[in-house]
Amino acid sequence: MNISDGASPVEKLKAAQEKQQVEKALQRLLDMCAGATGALVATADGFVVARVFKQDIAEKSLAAITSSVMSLAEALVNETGQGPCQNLIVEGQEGHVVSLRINHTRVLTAMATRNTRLGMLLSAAKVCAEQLASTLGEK
Amino acid sequence: MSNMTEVKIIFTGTMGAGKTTAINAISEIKTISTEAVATDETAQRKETTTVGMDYGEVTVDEGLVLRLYGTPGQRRFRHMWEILAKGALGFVILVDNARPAPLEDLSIYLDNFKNHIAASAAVIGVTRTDVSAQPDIDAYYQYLAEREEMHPVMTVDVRRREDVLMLLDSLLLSREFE
Ligand SMILES: Nc1nc2c(ncn2[C@@H]2O[C@H](COP(=O)(O)OP(=O)(O)OP(=O)(O)O)[C@@H](O)[C@H]2O)c(=O)[nH]1
Ligand SMILES: [Mg+2]
Repeated sequence: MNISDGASPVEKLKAAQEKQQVEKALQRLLDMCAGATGALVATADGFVVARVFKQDIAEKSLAAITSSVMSLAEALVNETGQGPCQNLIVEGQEGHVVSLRINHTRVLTAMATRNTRLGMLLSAAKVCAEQLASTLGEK
Repeated sequence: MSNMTEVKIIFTGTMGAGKTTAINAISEIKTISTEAVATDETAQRKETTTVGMDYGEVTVDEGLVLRLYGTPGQRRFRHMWEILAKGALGFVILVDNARPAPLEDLSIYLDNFKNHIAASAAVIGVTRTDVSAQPDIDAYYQYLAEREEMHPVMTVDVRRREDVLMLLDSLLLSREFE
């Protein structure tokens, strides 16, 4: 299942165009942060929009989990009165993962090796999300 | 804690069958929800879909608090199914009767939660029967018999509090919670 499955020709064209724009932005993110190993943009309801990875990943699962954890992080922050949620940071033993909301319907997840400074990854991801927000709009 | 018992109940089942609606209909606390704008075929029916979980609470008897967890319906979120099912003592499976193959839809959840259900209890709520009356309750019981499973089946309008409470009652009856 893909974001453009069952869509009209116009919608398919739009999806292809968005994919291209997003891939470029993700590539810039990887260029900006040397330790970054990959990044993906998902729809807020868990479909892959585009991804750029240095190794193979299960992109569909990653997109679905991205939307789940982002929604749960937002619920956590709101429930504790600390909202709105600005980003989600997870530090694993082997590396870091950050997720940010681009707009109402798009979420970005980026990851880097454990030697990468978290601040580097986060700032590259923020720049990427801001660029994409202005390219894609507030939808 | 005093003499309060807390029990975890899962609302699962077909996309759009009414899991989020059901929990909102009965919860005594402000529910937690994780809705996202739908971009797939769901969007033709409703604007948003659950991507994380729903959470609410209801007291059924003095001293028995049900903690209600709603799963996302769509298969791509099965990572959440596993996480949420842990420790659950009952499953409410909601099936949208207006979809093309409701019994096949049901089998997805019966299969996925098989071990959990075998160790606890399940009830099946058939929704949107005002839109499509078929398959009827007999067809559901027939289908369960073929699978050699026995769970109560009832038609419900999950927008109505009484209907959702009725589902929970029959779930509690099929198991002693202590
Ligand atoms: N016609 C009709 N509509 C119903 C009935 N029960 C629920 N609905 C509607 O069906 C929709 C159910 O939506 P949700 O509660 O979001 O469904 P859900 O199971 O949580 O969906 P996902 O989270 O996307 O899997 C709502 O718009 C309800 O108003 C019913 O018996 N008849
Ligand atoms: Mg829902």
